[in-house]
Parts: sequence; C-alpha cells; structure tokens
Amino acid sequence: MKRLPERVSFDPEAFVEINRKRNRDFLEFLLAEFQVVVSFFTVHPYLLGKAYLGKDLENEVRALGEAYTIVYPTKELLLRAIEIEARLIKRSIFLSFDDILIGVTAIENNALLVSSEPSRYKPLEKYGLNVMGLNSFFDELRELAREEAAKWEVRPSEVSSPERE
Amino acid sequence: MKTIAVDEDTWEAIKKLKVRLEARSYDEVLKKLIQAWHRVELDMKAESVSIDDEEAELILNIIKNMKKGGQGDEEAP
Repeated sequence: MKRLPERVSFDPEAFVEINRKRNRDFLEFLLAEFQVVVSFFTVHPYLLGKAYLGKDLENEVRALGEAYTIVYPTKELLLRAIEIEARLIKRSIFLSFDDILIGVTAIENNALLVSSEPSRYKPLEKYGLNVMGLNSFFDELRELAREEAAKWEVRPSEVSSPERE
Repeated sequence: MKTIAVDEDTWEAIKKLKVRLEARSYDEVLKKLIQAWHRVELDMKAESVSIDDEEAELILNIIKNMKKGGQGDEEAP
C-alpha cells in the first residue's frame, strides 16, 4: 500500500466521481485529511453542468472554493504548459491543452493527480507528474480511513466505502 | 502527553461536557469535540459540493461531448 502525499488533485471525470452524493462520507474524509488542489480546468465542466441547469455560478464557485483550493491559470502556468506541450509534440505525443494544464497544475503544486484514466497523463510523468488511477486511490483512502477509524476508536463499519459507477 | 492551559470558564464547561459525553478522560472529551467539529464543518463543505447521480451523468456527458466536439446537430447532453 502506497502512502499518499498531503496534496491531491483530480481530473474532471474523477472530480465528478469524488463529488457524487453516494461518496459523501468518503469526500468528508478526503477534505479532513488532505489539501485538495484542483485546476480551474478540472472544475470547468462541473461549473458548466451547473450553468446548464440554471444554478447560480457565484454560489457554486464560492462553495467549491470553501471545500477545495482552485488554481486559476496564471501567465506562468500557461507558458509552462506550452513549453511542455512543445516537448511532447517533438516526441509525437499530442495531448489536449486542458489535460496538459491539469497535469502542470498538479506538478507545480506538488500534488498527486487522481484520474479515472491515468494512462492519458502518463506522458507528463517525465516532467514530474505523479498520477494515480481513481480505483487505486479509493483503495488507498479506504485503508487510511480504516487506520483513522481505529485511531479514533470508531468502528471501521461506520466508515462507508466509496462507490462509483 | 501534553498540557494545555484553559481559563476557569472553559475548565468548568469542559468538566460538564466530560459528564454529558460520558468521557473517561479529558483527552477523550477533546477527541469527541474535534470529531464533532469535523462532522459539522466537513458536513457543510461536502453538502455544498455534492452532486446527485443525475447531475453527475450530465457533467460526464458534457465532458464526453466537449472531447468529441460538435456543430450543434447532435442532441444536448
């Protein structure tokens, strides 16, 4: 079992899974134990969904900002992403710019990137990205939750397991 | 073991809490208070960002369609 770093980040699909109501206990544990740093490009589809449903975006962004650290793109981040993109193209690797920005945000913030499709980000490992699949992350967290529950004398059965589609 | 200083009012409040919480020690009282704080604080944060399955599927469909691209001929998510 790997030990997880203090900071974790998510790609858009994994971010949706983490925020599902059915994974609520799991999310609370995550927020208690880790600093969750997410790229604006990770929360973009989440906000797009909320906008599509007619929700108040100011409220949604405020709620996200209270739960997570949202990293907005700076000039430096964008330039770093383009540098990496150019190096990837020289290796005939073509990633979407959003994926590169999500990866570079994780690299620059020393965060583990959790993805439901980790192979998509593998080319960025060469530039310092630490990436993990969502299911492996769930397994790691489940184990940590068990350890924490034992430490606080709470029965492990009280910590529900994460579920996903 | 560590020692912390509290004022008289806090001490009285903690003593009452120890009885009400049926805690065996002051360490247990603090642990229960920390747990309660986590529950309330984290419960509020998690509640405000949690999405039901319908919303989750909508967002996943948006992501899928964004990757595919489109010119408006296809069905909305």
